[in-house]
Amino acid sequence: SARVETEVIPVSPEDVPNREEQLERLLEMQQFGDTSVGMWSKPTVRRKTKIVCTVGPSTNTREMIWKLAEAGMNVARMNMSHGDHASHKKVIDLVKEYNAQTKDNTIAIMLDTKGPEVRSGDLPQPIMLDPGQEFTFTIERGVSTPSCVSVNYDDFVNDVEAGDMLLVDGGMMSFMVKSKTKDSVKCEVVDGGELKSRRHLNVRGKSATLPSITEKDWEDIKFGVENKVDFYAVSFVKDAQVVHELKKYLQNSGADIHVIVKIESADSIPNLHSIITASDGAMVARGDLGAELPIEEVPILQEEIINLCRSMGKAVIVATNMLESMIVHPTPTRAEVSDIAIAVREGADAVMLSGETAHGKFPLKAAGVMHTVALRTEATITSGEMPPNLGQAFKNHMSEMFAYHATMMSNTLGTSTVVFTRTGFMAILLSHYRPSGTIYAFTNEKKIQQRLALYQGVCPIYMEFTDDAEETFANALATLLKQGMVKKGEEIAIVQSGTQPIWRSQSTHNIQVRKV
Amino acid sequence: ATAVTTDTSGIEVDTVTEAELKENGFRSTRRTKLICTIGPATCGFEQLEALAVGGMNVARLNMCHGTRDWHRGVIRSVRRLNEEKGFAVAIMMDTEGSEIHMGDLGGEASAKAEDGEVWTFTVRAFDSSRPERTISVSYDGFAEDVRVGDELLVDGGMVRFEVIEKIGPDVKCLCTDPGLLLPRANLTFWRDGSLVRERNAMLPTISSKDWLDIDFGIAEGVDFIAVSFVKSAEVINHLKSYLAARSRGGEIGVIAKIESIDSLTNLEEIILASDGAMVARGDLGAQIPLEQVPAAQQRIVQVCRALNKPVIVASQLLESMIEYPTPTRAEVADVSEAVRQRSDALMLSGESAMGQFPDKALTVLRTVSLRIERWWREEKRHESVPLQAIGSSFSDKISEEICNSAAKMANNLGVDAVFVYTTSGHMASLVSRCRPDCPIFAFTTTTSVRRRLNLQWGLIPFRLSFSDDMESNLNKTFSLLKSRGMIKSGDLVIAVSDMLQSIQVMNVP
Repeated sequence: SARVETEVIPVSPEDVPNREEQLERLLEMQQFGDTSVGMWSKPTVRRKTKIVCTVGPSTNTREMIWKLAEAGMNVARMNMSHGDHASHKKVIDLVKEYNAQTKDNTIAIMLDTKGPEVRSGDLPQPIMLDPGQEFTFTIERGVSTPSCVSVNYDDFVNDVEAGDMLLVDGGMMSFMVKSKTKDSVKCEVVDGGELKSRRHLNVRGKSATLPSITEKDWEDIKFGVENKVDFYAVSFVKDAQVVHELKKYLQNSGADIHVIVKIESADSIPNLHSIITASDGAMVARGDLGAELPIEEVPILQEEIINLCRSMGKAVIVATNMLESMIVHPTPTRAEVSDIAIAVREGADAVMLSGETAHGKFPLKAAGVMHTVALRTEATITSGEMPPNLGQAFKNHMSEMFAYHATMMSNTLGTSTVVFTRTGFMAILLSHYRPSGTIYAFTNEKKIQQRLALYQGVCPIYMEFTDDAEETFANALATLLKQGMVKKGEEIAIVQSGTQPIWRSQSTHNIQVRKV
Repeated sequence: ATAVTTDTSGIEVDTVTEAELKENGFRSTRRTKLICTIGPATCGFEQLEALAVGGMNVARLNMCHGTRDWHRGVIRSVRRLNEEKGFAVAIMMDTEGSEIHMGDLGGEASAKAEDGEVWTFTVRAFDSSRPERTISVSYDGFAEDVRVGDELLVDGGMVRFEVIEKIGPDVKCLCTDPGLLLPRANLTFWRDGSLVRERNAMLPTISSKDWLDIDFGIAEGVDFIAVSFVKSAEVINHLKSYLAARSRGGEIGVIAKIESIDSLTNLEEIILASDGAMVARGDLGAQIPLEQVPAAQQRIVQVCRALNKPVIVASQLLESMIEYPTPTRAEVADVSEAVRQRSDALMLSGESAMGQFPDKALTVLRTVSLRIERWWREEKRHESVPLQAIGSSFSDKISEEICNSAAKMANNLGVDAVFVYTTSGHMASLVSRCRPDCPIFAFTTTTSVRRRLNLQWGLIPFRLSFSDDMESNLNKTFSLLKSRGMIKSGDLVIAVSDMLQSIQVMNVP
């Protein structure tokens, strides 16, 4: 059925007054636009936490991409571990077509590199393994017997030691390393199951000694430059060096693509600060993180990474296993609902769906659940605490002060914020302070509009700027009014600040509150 | 852990805790308590022992499944485990309740409903085998209450049907959302986007079968009875007076399961009337929109804490571990959040009752609890909201102030443990309510109080005969614990008791 669960429905007569009370409070805050204005009551406007959807076989058609966008997708992610350039190109073109057709919504494109994944080899048929059984991994290519299979990585033998725990697919099966020869590793099965072709392998507590960007990844990066994607998500980043290397390459290619580092290897943890400093954002890739490190460390690291990113004004995405059960079931488990609520409360910019939308049976429902849970959770958050590093995150003291105080002002007055930006800087800065109203970011760069789709609370809108600031303001307000994002008589805060003033004559910073 | 036989003159403590204390010291002990539902996967003596060694504090029996004989067998095994191996595992009996649910599928583990199939829901009972695509419904008024066009939700939306036709006792429904039907799954029906609550809302909270189960629980001496679908405080009060009359001196704790809209409306009065609450997220998520469950959980945990009642977070904590040896990252985050909220206990349902990896699931709860508790202490997180005063009589107020101060002193002085001597257990729970950084050693004279204290956050319950003379009590405790290697000279301890209104701070001699 086509039930899209984007509406919060009243549940019982008793529950209604409660809801009305909440709605009243929300209306007071003018957080939501009037939902009766049909064409603009799209989820992107009201929900602040963004949704990244991985596009795959379940969703790579025109119809599904449109539907996903309507269900709440803000960023489309291509996973380069699967598919080929032709299939990814098709998706990129579809997303661009969507963006060109749709005035009131923009989808950013993220390309996720494969990275140095260690995988087992191809098997003609799955092997059943029982606990206690002996099993061998070999670096010799093309081996597939019931007791031995190849591994795609030559240094595998050097990286593991007897006593190491080897995990398949993040712990679905596990092996204890017993002994090794120069080309094979003998193991004992600890958790059995069905070993299928090309499974992902991890060694508990260790990262493979491989470069973060492989030759295939460089090919994929070139592909991304050619197709002008908005973000790279770089797998298995272990230090800042690789980020610098990639950024330098992008600069030389004249590509304006932001780099999101995936925090997923044990080795990255000691270098967290420098890695995040070098990048434009981070992704908490909990799958491998929980395989290389004890699984109970993951929630603590998640909070730490979110806090670190937020203190530095970088985007942060929480990923992996968010609605895993929805790959096969139409309803999430209670734990999964709780998990999304946690990520939203911790202040992540975005939450991500992987297999749920790529090859799951209920991609639209999964996106719908994320939308509803995020919306509901945001309504329970009280904002407005002064960050401890006020004025230091962006090394641009004046703009930061203006962003912070504009946030405070819009919070106390209960208004949305309007900002004009050519580089996206001021919009990101405002997002950093998490105002309770929506940030309407007007930009005259399509590229920037698309990029801003990832940031919490930002609703990016494309508009030509005129030479006259006052005229541009008027145009912007007219657009907002026309789209039903603000109502007549509503007050909004307009922020003018940033490193390069858009209108030379008005090089001062200012915040103003206007009645529409 | 080695076996410890009961020594009536000495001290009784959980063998696992004792071993933990000896090896790793005070800070290592887990504060969040763990409950395992016992089922076919875990009902053998060795399996129960493995769970106890793995950290099970309470064994839960779900009266929806199994015969009384089967339950009796489990209760006796747990008792034997406690007596022979020195554990203090409490037993919680969970009543079935009378909300609408499906029948038991004639012994099948599950049935699959596909999109577009027509199924029959009927109030008829089947003597022989279940006809294909037919489900029996527990509620007699079902066929009269539903209307054509209603939406029927199984387990809060795992499977959805639309009512297309009513023929006498049979209701024909079209499957609109496919999925697995599990035995005795909860059924709700919705009309125009609202949950239908008409005559079905008038069903008694405690059914006649439940009363028989309760009598059985009293006879077998269970420690807690969890009541399903509580709607008001009245039913709790009723059950408590029934228990007081039947069992000797209110020895059975009553846990209210919060899983309906009514229970959320009357939350404070229900919790006030009961001895604890359970956030039963499975059915709760079937009655209120799923996305409201995290906020409801947060509120229930806070209210319980404020009113000094233990609170259990239950249902679907590690659902994927029924089939797989490792949890999803979402599940780990969910468990960590329940620990951060500082709930008293976490509960496993299907994971331990019928799952393939009960011990592994328990290990995940244990390691995540330990890690988050340590993180909490290291980050020096302290409560932002001060605890409200709850004592009604003046002497209660004194006890409360003493416990609050003792916990605060324990944190500020960095003591190794708080000792609390309590006959009723109330003083121990008041200290537990403050969630101090150090473990709380609760000494009590009866084994039943000791077992019940095992549900509460941070309490390490000991059975010990003590007198009115605190000086001699302390000396006796020190020498007994020292001889067992559980404390050593120089450890800093704060002691409180419900006999003497004082706080003592001292080093172990």
